Amino acid sequence: MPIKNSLYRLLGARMIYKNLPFLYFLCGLGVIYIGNVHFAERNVRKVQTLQHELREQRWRYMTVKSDLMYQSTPTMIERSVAEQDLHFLTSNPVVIR
Amino acid sequence: MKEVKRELLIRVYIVALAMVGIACLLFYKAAKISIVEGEHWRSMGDSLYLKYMPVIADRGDILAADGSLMTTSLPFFDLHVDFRAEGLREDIFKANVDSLAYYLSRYVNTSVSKTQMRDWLIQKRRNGDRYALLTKGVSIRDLERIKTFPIFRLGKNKGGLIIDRQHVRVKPYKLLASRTLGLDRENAQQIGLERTFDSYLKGEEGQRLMQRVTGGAWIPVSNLADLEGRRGADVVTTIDPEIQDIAEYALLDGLVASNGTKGTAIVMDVETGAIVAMANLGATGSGYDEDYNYAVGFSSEPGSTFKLASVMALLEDEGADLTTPVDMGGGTGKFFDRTMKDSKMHGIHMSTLQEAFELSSNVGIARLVQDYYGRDGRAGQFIKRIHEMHLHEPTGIELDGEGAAMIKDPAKKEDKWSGTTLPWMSTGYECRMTPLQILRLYNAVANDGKMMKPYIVSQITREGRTIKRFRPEVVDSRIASSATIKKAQQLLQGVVETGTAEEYKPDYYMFSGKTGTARTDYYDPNSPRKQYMASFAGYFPSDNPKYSCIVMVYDPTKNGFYGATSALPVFRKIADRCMGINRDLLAQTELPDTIAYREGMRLVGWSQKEELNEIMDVIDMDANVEGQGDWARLAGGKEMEMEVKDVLEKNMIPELYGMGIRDAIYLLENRGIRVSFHGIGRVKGQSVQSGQPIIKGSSIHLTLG
Repeated sequence: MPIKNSLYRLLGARMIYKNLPFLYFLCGLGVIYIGNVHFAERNVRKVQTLQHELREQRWRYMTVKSDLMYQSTPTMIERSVAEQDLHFLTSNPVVIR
Repeated sequence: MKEVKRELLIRVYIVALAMVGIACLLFYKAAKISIVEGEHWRSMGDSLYLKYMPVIADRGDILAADGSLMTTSLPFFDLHVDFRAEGLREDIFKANVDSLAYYLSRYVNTSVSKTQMRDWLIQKRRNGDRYALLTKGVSIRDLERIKTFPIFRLGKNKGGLIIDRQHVRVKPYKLLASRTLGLDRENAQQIGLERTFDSYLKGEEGQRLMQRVTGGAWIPVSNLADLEGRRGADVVTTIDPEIQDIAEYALLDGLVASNGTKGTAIVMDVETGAIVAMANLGATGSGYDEDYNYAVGFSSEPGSTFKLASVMALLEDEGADLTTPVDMGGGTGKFFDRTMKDSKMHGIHMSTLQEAFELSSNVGIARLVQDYYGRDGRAGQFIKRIHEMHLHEPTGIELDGEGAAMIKDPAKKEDKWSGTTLPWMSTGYECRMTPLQILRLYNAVANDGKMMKPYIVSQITREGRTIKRFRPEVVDSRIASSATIKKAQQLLQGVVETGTAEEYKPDYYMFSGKTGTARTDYYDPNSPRKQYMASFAGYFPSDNPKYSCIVMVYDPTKNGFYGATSALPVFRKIADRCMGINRDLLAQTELPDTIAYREGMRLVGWSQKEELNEIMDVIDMDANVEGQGDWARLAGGKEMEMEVKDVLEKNMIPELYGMGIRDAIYLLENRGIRVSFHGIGRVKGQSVQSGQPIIKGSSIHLTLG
């Protein structure tokens, strides 16, 4: 019977009771761990979405910019103002002073 | 009681046994899965939740000298429609098909009518097509608009719009230097800079281990940077977009005017050999396009532009001088059994080397060369001089496919040197070179004899930092003695002052150069018509050259076939505009006395005193002020007089002569007079004379000029 008793004592309520704070701590760690994983994954997703958005914005910028670059070449400008009879200067500028 | 207890115990044991049995079974199964079949299941799990994903590196950009983008990668989208998309219910489709057809026919496929589009949509819907091609190559801006169309605006799964992205190399400047920049395409060879610098541009494709997490996202398992792809480096060229624009469109206009089949124009920085513009145009079905890099790849007989080399050889060997007399034979001359002709029968006989060069006389130059080098086996000396000018070598520009130069050598049997080779070669036949190779010689003359290697890429950068720099390279610090170079410069200037290019002599700066007209099919007696190649090579401004330039127009058929009529106008236009954007190259023209100081001359009409004072301040002019009021005008005498008064003080129509239209309208309409005018400039005439009383509501017409 002594063996049985000591076994009871080992696995007994007192032991569990004594280590309960530690078990709580472990559970807490577990919860934090799971939460952290979700949090990290959400961040990764957010980063990916933002990266995608950033890329799209860059494409949009580049598309608009390349249009603008083309429109602002001297020849294109001359063509677009030809109606107003504006042309490139073909004579030497005169310095007044 | 005991019976009951026993029975209960037995039942409990049975249940416990069953539990233990199940537990064992579970344990066995678990062990089997994880140990015995472990390998299989683990790899299967990996393939579902873990995979290596290629990280495709973005290709680098090609930049102009000023950093603006000449080639970049942009996404374009191919659009398909899933007509059996989940959310695309019959009622939604029916309600919106009309308006969708309207938008599609208006913005996406403008070649079909709204009804045709509607029929197409209904047809596809009936067939239940899940991947019907709508359009290809839509830009991101258009895509955004398309996404707002009816049905499509329902979203990805409901609207059925399927978007496939692909990256396309885009040249924002479109035509400009497009062949030089090159192409990067699938299933075909790359060309141009895309090809030469592919190893830098392409970057490194990487592989990354990704893990699938809830929500369908893939996240990198580890941050092993060495597995990540690297964006390609950027290639910075020496091309100046503004000058490229000038050259490209000047060439285009020139080709249209002369109806040439192809043409090229190159502008090079004299001091460094940097190519600032390289335009290549060839006739396509409907106009001209950059279809081949003629400047680098197309070698042909240069014609008269080669005479510069011939004359320089003569000068260097002191075989002739600028004043050496020569018989131009009136325009024809016989060399052995062949007759050489000048481009025009000019009828001039006795002349000098200088005049023969300026008039581009084939006979004159060939005669001089033949007289000196044609005897005693001295032809080899001529070739030696040509070699000293590096005309037999490729330029080594960083573009693949450079055309080979061909200069015959009397010492080589396979070159088939004959008696007529020397005279014909001296006028630019029986030899071949590319436009760039010719330009290199003219550039060296402009650069006082220092020959630079033409180059088009100045550096390679990654994220803005230079990883490789290309510096100007000297091919030969002196291709001829400085006396020869001086004389060559003098000759080239003479061509423009009094020679074949005189008609296009500019009036406020000078360029130097040489016209060239070469028959390209003289060897073909069956040619239906004579074909020519017109060229002009030179540099500007003459006194302190900044740019050298060559223009070639192949097979011009309209408005003359001469270098002076087809290529020179293009050169002149390029030179004019380049000088226009480099005003510091121009000698400043200062009027000795500005109009304001001319005695007895009234400078301008009445203008607002404050504005006039401001102008006077800026140009630092003083004047004696007389009178009082808000309006003023200047009069020039020994000293400037400024007359000031209130022009409307007596309620009379003022003198409007010389007044700006803005002031005139302000003045008159404030007093209720309606003003009409025609012309541009300042007021020249007024329909109601000054001194007439102002009548409210009356009208006046002004003539400007």
